[in-house]
Amino acid sequence: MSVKIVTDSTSDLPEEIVKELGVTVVPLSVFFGEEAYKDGIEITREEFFKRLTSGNDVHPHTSQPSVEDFVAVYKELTDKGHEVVSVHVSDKMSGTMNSARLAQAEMPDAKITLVDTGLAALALGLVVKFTAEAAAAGKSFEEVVAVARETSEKTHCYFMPATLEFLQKGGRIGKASAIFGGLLSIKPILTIQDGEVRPFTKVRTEAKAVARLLEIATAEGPFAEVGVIHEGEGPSVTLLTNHLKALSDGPVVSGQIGAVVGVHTGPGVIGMALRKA
Amino acid sequence: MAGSPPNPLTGDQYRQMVVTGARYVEKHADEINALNVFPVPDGDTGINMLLTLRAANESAELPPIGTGTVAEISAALSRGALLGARGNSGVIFSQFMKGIAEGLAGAETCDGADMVTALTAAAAAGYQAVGTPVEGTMLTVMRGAAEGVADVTGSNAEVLAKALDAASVALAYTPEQLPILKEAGVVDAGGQGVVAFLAGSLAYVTGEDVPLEITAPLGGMAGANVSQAFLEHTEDDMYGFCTQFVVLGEGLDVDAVREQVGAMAASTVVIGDDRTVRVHAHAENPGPLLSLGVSLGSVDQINIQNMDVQHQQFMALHGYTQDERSALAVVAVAPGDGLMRLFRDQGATQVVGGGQTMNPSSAQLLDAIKRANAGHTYLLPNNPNIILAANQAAELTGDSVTVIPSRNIPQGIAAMLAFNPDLDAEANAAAMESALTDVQSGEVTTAVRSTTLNGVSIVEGQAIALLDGVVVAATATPNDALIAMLAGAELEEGNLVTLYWGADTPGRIASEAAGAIEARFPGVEVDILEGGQPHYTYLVSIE
Repeated sequence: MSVKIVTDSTSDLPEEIVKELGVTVVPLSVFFGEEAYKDGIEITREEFFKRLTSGNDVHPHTSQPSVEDFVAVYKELTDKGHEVVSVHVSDKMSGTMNSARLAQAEMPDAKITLVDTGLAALALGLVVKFTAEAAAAGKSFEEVVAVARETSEKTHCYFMPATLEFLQKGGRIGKASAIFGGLLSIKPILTIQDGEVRPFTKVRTEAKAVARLLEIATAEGPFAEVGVIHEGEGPSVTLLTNHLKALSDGPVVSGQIGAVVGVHTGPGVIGMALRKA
Repeated sequence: MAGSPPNPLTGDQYRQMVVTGARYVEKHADEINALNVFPVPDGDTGINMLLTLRAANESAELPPIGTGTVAEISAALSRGALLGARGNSGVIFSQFMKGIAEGLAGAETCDGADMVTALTAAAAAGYQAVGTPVEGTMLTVMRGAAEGVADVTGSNAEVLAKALDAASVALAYTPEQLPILKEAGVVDAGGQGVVAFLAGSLAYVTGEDVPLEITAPLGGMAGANVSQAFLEHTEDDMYGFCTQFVVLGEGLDVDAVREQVGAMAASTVVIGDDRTVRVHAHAENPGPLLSLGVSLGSVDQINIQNMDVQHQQFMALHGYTQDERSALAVVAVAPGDGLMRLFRDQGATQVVGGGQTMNPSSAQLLDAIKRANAGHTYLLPNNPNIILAANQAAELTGDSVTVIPSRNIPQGIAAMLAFNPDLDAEANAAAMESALTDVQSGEVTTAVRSTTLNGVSIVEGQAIALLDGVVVAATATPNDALIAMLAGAELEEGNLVTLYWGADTPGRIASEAAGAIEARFPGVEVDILEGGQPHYTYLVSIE
């Protein structure tokens, strides 16, 4: 019997880390019109961004995992005698926590605790990673739950979408809605605070936005662990990765965004997830 | 009295008629209040008229019941109204009553012919009282009543019925005469009050109830409420103090006082006689008006109201709420509609029009800061000539204002973008100040005289370009000057050039300029926006 970690596909953790730590990822779905694809299973990120940028498709939307999806995962793990800590994307951004809650209610005898991290993308990913490491180190169920909750508070992210179009269409912008409506073309740096996307600052060019990300990291560092949120590669990704390397001891986690996060940020997003000790 | 309408009216009956008129105004006071489109001068037209009529009916000079001629009673009512008048509409209404008293001077009783004389005198007195009479107001409605009865011979009932009809028609026309009413989709509130008073008077002389509905504008939609769009539109127009007082003295010259007050304040109404002068005016500072009053006689019934507060109450009455008080706000100065809108879009709470040729005063900036209604306000002057006024405004407000010394529009926009209402006051000040150095600023304008500046020889009428305030090029066309200036700015790939084109710049020229920049400087992004600023063909931000 051990403590197992479940998360959802918005966590954007690299495949090898997920495997190594034995984390179960419940996929959300991406829809192009009527066609549904399970995130990372029925559609790869490469296929997804190709379709997204081809311009021939309807704008995609996303959907939380079904209650059955969670029941199946929870049942498999608890039948083997495991205890489950289910660590998820912000309740304010996705219905994923709702599905998990209903699944939990279906299984009153199973030992399952849900944690709303109030985060998304690799920021969620870093919480999941550290929680899974605590579980692997043999910590008790209660201790692992406490780690998940505390780490959620200590983890932040900042990111710059290449365009505002996708955030606007997806509606998952929380208080960042204030940045729309202007004629001026701007590059906003956004953050997640209190479970919602919020504007942090606005500049006019990508070069300046990246420079601001570096400044923010330097001002807030050092960190226990850091990761780069990105889609694709490029000089900005390399620059940010190298800068972050100096601000923590471990390797920089690469959080390529998956299809579900990609629906809302669009391609070309760049950002960073920062976990304080 | 039912069945035998009093004609002619005795003094007591005349008095009862006025009481009934007041009762009709009272019955409809709330509806009349709701019609008022002038947010400040007269927040509650219905209430003000009612209070004025009550003051008339409680006049200390009224003879005991059962005594007194119509002339004596109407004079007493007029005196009471003059002393007790409230608001613009009340003051004008008291003037109507003064006219009526003049019309009825010497009359033992009041018959139909006397009533015609009284109404005619009332209309004339109204116009006389107001510094600059405006049509489409209660003045027009009263004159409508007077003109309507000019040829009527008959009983009081017949005269008043005709007066009511004619006044109602004039009222329905008021939106055609006063655009503000048309925009709001209502008739004039004070005019509606006159109609209510006439309806009440008619009800008394006929002994029958007169049904009265709020008049709809001619050919318009049902007009009992002021439209929301209108309220938003007029939101930030008025300020200062509504100042009212009475001067009591001897040998007062009403016309001379009216002239003096008119030179000192706006929306002035000065009425009275050689013993009593009532002053109503809107002024930024009520002090000089009161000093004038004191120099003329003894000042009484001083009533000074802050119109900002009245305005907020008015907005609340109409269900229009201002933004809540916020912790942080930005006030920016910008020339031109496009630039003003741009600052608003990016989150400036208040934008004051102004720039190189039109520097706003410290008072204007203070006013905008007050309106921004925030715990801490950042002020973006966006011009070197405005920084001083901004500092002055900031000094007057203590620690609650920080001037971010932006010297041009590009710096102002950069600072605006760095503003984050989620951060604390100090962090914002630091971020906004540091953003000022993020941009280079360029300007293209027309030389107003021939000279040599910074080694550039300039011929009057040439297009000249400045980079960070220094003349760098003088050429035949603005676009050539622009390109020459950018060539000196050492642009690199990934730079962004934003062109804000001016009020006199054809859009075609601006889009040609954008194309020329992209062709000449590969890898440089160009954003073109309508700035609408005067005198400058382009304001340019380089980052």
